[in-house]
Amino acid sequence: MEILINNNNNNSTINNINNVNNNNKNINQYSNNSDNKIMNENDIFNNNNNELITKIPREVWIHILGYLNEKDLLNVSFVDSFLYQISQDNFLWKPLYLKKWNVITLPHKKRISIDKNLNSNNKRINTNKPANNNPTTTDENNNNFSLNELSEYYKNINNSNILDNNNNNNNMYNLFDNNFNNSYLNFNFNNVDNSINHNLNNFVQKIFKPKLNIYNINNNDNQESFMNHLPIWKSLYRERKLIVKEGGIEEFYHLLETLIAYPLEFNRKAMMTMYTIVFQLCIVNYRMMNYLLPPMDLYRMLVECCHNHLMKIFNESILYEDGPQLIRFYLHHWNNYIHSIKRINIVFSYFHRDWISKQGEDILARPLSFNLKGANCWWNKMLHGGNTPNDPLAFVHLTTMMARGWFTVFFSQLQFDESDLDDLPNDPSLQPPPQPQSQSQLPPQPQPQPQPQSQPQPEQSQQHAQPQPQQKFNRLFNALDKCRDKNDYHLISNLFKVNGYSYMNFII
Amino acid sequence: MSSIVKLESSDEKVFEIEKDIACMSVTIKNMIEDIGESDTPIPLPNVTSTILEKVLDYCKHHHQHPSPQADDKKDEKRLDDIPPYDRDFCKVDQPTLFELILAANYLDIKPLLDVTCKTVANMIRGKTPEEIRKIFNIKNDFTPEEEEQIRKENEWCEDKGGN
Repeated sequence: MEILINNNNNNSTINNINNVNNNNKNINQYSNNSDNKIMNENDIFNNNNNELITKIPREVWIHILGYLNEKDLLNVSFVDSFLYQISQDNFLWKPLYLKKWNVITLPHKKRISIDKNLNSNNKRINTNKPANNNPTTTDENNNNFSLNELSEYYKNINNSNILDNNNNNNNMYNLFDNNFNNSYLNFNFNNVDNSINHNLNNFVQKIFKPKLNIYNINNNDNQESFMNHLPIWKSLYRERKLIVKEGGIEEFYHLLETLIAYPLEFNRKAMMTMYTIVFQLCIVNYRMMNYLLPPMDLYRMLVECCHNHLMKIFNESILYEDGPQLIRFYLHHWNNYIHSIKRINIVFSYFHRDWISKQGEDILARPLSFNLKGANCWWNKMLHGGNTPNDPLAFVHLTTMMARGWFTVFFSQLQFDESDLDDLPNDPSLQPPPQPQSQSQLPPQPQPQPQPQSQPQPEQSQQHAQPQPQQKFNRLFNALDKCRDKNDYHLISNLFKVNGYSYMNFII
Repeated sequence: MSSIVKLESSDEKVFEIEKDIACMSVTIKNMIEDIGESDTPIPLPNVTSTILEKVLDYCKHHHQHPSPQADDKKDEKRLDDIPPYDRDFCKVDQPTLFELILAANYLDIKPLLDVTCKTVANMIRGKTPEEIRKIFNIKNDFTPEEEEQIRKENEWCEDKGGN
């Protein structure tokens, strides 16, 4: 053995020397000289390092591999370490990604699920979410929240859900257990009877779930650890592929998330993709891949996305000091919002036209073309929990309003004070007067409250409605003051221009 | 007619060629534009005479037969659009092909680089790793553990049941 190895080594070193010499002089002997060619081949066989391919610089290899698709790239990565290195390059994967999906979705976190049970029972691709994610962690979370009553309430509901799920066909997306399907499909908002109440409660609970889970995002995720060394674009590509494979819904969710956060990233093609998905969901028997998705869930998903996005914005906004920075932050997101709401309207237009409009004007009509009035109602509902405290209809209403109104409330300057609570000024024209009042930029923040305590339930915000305004209300106001101190009028006028513009557009 | 440019290969052969043709190489073009024209040959220490000859053939041919497509629809990277002349041009043994790629890269001749790279990509496309190794005489230098890891890493792409 040893001798053999030695031999080999000798050979290769000799060959190496040869090569170096050859290279130094000139290299054209390959093509001319058959002897040389043979030698060269020997060279490669004996010699470790594949000198033919390593002669070509990395950039050129990337150019070459740029013509290949994902499968070929992966095959190439198997060949040897040199090609493996190259095949990981972001310059290869990013174009592939864009070509395949048009839009770069947000880096995939574990989906902030609306439903605990979804995580625990669902068979889904393990890389997205470890199956053990849940019952325990979220329960702990619940305990952190001071809202014991609510967590009790949730637990009860969850128990009943689990029972439901046990009867459930495993192949189905567990989110939509049998009860749900029935209730969604036959749902008529005008006759809410008792049997539906229960489902509505579930529904509401699921909608608010993300607020519980949102702080869980950073859980360790062992299953993905071996992926960590992958260059980002390859892993993004992989993620996206897994998502797409898993089913249109998950993909759609991420697209939607991205649409809300980065609307301008969407080109026409991507928009049409989105619209098509919505269309299919509404039309093709509400079916997509293997999952049954009642349109109601589409809507719920939208609410969920909006909500998560707002939570994120809110959490970010805490980091900013009052002052120009904060205003810029708001401005940025407000602009983003204007774009995203338009695009969402386009994407969901079929859904609006065909599904929502059949469900009765009162509640869900055009849920996304929000206006100030709607926002106001929503605000009121949220504070008062509707006409009667536990009226399930109010919850549904709330979520509707959230989708169309939350942004408005968050970024515009609705007047918010005592009188607002008592008699809603329903006339939008009362709202715009810019400065003097407590800019309710922040009112919604009572619920998103920075940390664990965020259990955005009407009841809760009711409790906190009073203290919150005092602390937070004048944040934007303060920021404006500071700007004025610094003679930063440009920013101020910008702010009002933007808001004025949006009033013009959306009030009507 | 445009003036003549002299190019000197690494093995000290001098080629005379019309300036327009030589300027298909961005490297040479920049050189001429920046330095100005002169009678002294431009040395190309990275290109041998055989390769340079082939490269110049390519340039001449494409100078006479400018390719019709405006090259603007560059979004899509296609592998099947190699014109006949180019395809024949690339029917050479591997070392020569690689030399051509290097020369095209060095001289910055985009169309030549594209076409040669496409040729190589075509050799790789649709092949298994083992086949690729065979084609390019590459030795597998992974340890079994590494191989296993890569396999794991790439699992996601294996479509069970087609695309």
